Amino acid sequence: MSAEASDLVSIPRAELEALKAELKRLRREVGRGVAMARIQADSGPGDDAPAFTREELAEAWGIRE
Amino acid sequence: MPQPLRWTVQRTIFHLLDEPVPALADPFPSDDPLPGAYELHLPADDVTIWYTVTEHAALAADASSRTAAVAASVSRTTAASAACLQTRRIRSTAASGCSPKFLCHAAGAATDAELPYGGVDRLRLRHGLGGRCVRWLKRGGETVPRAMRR
Repeated sequence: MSAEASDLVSIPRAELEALKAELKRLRREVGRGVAMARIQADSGPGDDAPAFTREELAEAWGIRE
Repeated sequence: MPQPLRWTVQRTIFHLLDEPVPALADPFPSDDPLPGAYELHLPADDVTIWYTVTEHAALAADASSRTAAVAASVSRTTAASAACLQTRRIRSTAASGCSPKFLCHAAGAATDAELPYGGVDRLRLRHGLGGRCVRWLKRGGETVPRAMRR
């Protein structure tokens, strides 16, 4: 990826790291909001949900224990 | 959602079915926890899973068996991707001698879930699960997947 020199800025590494940490925090906070809404709206799986044995589920997901 | 992340989440949820509340899980939300709701952050993968665990009266013929449900929202802070999965297990009693069964279906998608349906279709074909399987949904794809409709 290239950028014009006029589009480039320089910031201290510490500030960059702080901004990245803040971005993570904000994304996690958004995730919490989504999770909260989903938990409150979820009515659970219906009784006709498909059934797997433990082994079938592990195989379906490619899990080797 | 990137395949390595999906594997991480699936493995984690698989273990949650056996141990719904591991030591690293925190009640969610922290200030006023919902019943059975937890937040599990996996720092090594930069993944957070929010999930609920509920106990139900027996759905199975064995009245003494219990079910545990795990509904999870997943978010990776670096990739801004998330998906939702819901899994329910029928835990047979030791006395019954039956193998544990997992009841599975996907709930709706959370923000930015990106998994295509193709991956699940491959599972269905490869493993012959009779057209019924766990699915990840795209954002906005909260409808019941065709393979799960009756």
